[in-house]
Amino acid sequence: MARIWPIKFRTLGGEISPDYRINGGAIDRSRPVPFRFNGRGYRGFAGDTLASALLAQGVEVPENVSLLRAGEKPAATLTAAQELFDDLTARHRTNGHFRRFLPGYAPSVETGSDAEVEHVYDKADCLIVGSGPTGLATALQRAEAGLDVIVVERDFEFGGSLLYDDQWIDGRAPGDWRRAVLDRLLVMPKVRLLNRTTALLREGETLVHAEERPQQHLTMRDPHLPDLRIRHIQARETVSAAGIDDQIFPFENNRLHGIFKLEYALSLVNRHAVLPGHRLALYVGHTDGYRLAASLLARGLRPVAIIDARAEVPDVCHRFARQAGIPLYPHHRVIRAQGFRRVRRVVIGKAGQDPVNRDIHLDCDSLVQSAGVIPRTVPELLEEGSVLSVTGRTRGETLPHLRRGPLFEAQTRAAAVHRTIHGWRLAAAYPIKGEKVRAASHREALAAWTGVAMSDLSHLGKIDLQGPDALALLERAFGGWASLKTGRMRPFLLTEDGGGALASVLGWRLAPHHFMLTMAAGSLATVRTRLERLVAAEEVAPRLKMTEVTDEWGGVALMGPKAEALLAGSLPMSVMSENLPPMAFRDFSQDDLPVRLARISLSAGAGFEIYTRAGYADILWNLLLEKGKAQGLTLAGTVAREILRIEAGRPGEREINGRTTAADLGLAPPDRLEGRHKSRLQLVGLKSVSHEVEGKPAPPLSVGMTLYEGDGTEPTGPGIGEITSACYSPAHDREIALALLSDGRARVGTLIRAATADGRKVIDVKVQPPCVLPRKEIGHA
Amino acid sequence: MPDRNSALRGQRIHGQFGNISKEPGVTFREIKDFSYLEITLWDWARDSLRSKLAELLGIGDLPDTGDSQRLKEGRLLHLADGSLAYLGAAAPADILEVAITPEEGCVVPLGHARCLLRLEGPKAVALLRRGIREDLRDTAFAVGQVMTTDIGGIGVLLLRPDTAKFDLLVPRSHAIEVWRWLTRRAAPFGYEVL
Repeated sequence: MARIWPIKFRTLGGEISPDYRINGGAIDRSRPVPFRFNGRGYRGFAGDTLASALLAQGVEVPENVSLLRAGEKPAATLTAAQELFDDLTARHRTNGHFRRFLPGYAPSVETGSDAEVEHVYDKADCLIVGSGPTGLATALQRAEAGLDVIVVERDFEFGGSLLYDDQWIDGRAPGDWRRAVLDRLLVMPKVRLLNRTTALLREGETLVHAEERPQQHLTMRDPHLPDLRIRHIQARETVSAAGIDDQIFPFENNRLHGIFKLEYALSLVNRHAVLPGHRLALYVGHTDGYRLAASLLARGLRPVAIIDARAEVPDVCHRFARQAGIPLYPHHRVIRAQGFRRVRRVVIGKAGQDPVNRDIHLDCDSLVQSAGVIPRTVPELLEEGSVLSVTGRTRGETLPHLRRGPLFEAQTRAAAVHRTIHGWRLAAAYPIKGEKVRAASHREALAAWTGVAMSDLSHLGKIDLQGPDALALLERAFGGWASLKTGRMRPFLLTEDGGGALASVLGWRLAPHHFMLTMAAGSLATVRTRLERLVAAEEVAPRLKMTEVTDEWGGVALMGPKAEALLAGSLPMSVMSENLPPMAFRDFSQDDLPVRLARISLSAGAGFEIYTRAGYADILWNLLLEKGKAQGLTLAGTVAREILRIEAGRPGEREINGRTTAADLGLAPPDRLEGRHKSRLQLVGLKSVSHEVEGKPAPPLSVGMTLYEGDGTEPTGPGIGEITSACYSPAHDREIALALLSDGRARVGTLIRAATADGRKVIDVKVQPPCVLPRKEIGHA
Repeated sequence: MPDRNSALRGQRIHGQFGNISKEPGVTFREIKDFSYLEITLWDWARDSLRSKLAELLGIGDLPDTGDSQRLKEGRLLHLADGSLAYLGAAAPADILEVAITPEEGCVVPLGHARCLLRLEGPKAVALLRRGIREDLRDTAFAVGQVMTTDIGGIGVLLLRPDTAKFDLLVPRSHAIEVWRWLTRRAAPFGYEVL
């Protein structure tokens, strides 16, 4: 690793001194600031930058350093313009690379990945980038006109060049003028002055993205503040007053240490009271560059030479140099800088002449240069990703879209193991006495066959559809709705134009012009998009209102032979068959609790769905839990419901995938097959028979296994189908699956084989109808 | 009616938090019992229903789009063309549900689908500016105005009942994420949960 040594220089008098601090400047000498750099202790003053404090003690500074706070990992990369604060601990950023010191104020775009980033959306009439004389004067003028004004300043001090320039404004010294204007702006309620904020990118005419670093000047990290604040500032007018940047001359070795830009050198001398070097040469291409020489002379210091690249140097420059006693080399150029790490000498020659034997060697320890100046501007965002590290921050914050149902807290109390499915935090299972999720799920699924199980349905997608034209829309999307009577439900399959099945929904007719659709959470977006497209395709806006009401309702499913008995003891309404036939529902009140009760069994066996308004869902839950104790009510999670779905042979999202048709899934007669979706892949059930043959527990079937003929040939190639859902069925005591199988229904009763992709696991399975638990087995289970 | 269960149950803890060295910049209050109805008027019945609604609610005329009208027990919000909402106590809500026939329009109760948070205090605007892109200055979003917007991609409805007071209607299932975001961003200002 490169070591950074304090470099000592000889002054004109020949004495060695590492001290580059001079009198004056805007630093507060009454407030010394201790800090550490590369493991060594130093001391600067309040108002110093890290670079100025180091340079004052003769320490070269690399371009970037990493900021460390006690006990923390490197939090961010800073430029050398980092302001000094008590006990700042910093180190050289690049191991083994000693990088040239290019002091400046480039935005520090690197931030640790774990940094807390906050976005702020600011609005103003006028945004002013930079707080130099132009910026402050403009801010005052706009604020006095009654406008909302935001001033962003990348430095920790407002003032820009006013902090180091000596040109008077309106008859006042720059410092006095700055203080007077700032005092007025600070009390104006419509003015916001944002320091430590760098304008990063301009997007369009009115939007500027800026970054603010609220933490990087604090000794102790403030836990309430973000590390980085991205401000998206929208303003009708943006004034760029970010000052100027020096252009540099091309010459050999111009990356040596000790070579500075003019504006920065001025800032070092006049603001931070630090000499860039004791023997300083000035290399300029414009008269304004002589300002540094004037500043040094005012402090009793004289540059060793001025090299002026212009062919015609104005008389005023000649007079200045003559009177100051500074050798002037007009129409000369620097050919090369010499030295090890730091400049020791520059070789200059007459511009336009053969340099051989005509070179002049100037001994110096620093060279300040400015070929000309260009105004600083905010770069424009041309296209997304053009400046990736910066444009990424122009995007706003996105919250985790984790949804929690109204029974989430009640489930947590019931020791549920939660998992995230389709963006919902759902109870996967309710283990008891140290059970694993798998064992708990088997117990819960079995309870749905033998007793009564309760499962949360609140996350099911729900769409409310009302209006005189609602029925026509549903007819177009699904078909078959006209015959659905009020108070009844029916399953429908949403298909695309070519016949591919997109989603399965349960349709409820609440009133002649009022419908509700419930569906799996993962299908909600598909159904809503499809319906919205159909509405948008109408020439005349249809009289209907489609609203997602998922969050309005909380509900549970009661499954099992004892479900009816439980309900009869819990709710005042009789749920006798004659009052509530299958696939029918009723709305009623229970102790002012609005209840919607439906007799429905989409899994095998008896079942009910009970909904109430979401805010009352836990009351319903607790009521049923209490009443269910006598019936041995078991809570069932999503894993158990998935087992019940596979046992019942109901197609899920892996079977209803846009490529299968209603006929493939066994939901429509085969003779209705038509179009490009005509397919030979048909939904079937499978059950493992391996253990019957080998007399040991069957290896598990798994989703994605390829199906092969059972004729004894090697299971290779594309196969004849694929397993789409699989589980262990506790009621059947074997591995079962749903599969899409070529000519599936014709193969019912035959033996085939399921194999993993690597061919290591091959299991014999028997093809069955999708529902693997016929009625007689249900009774047995 | 039974007590409504909060969507923030287990999350909303009363007290002062964040930077408490000064007066809290923001105060949060969850309003648990309220009615929120979305009212849609079909195009052809819009004019007749306007006057019918105004008469029913005892106001001169419906508010302009993006504005709201204070009622005796709530507020009528004009969200978009032909789209209104009622936010307030339950009694007028019941009347509205009965008064609007399917031929004129429809009413969708969504009070349980939303979590209603009231934000007050001198830093309420500063807090909301950390998540809401729209212009919240007094001139652009005046007292009484309403907007549908989003916080971090989650759709919310924002109402400004007073200069330093905002009502935020958040989808119930996203309420915890929004609540966590609000309290995290309010910490630098100091906040109080009532």
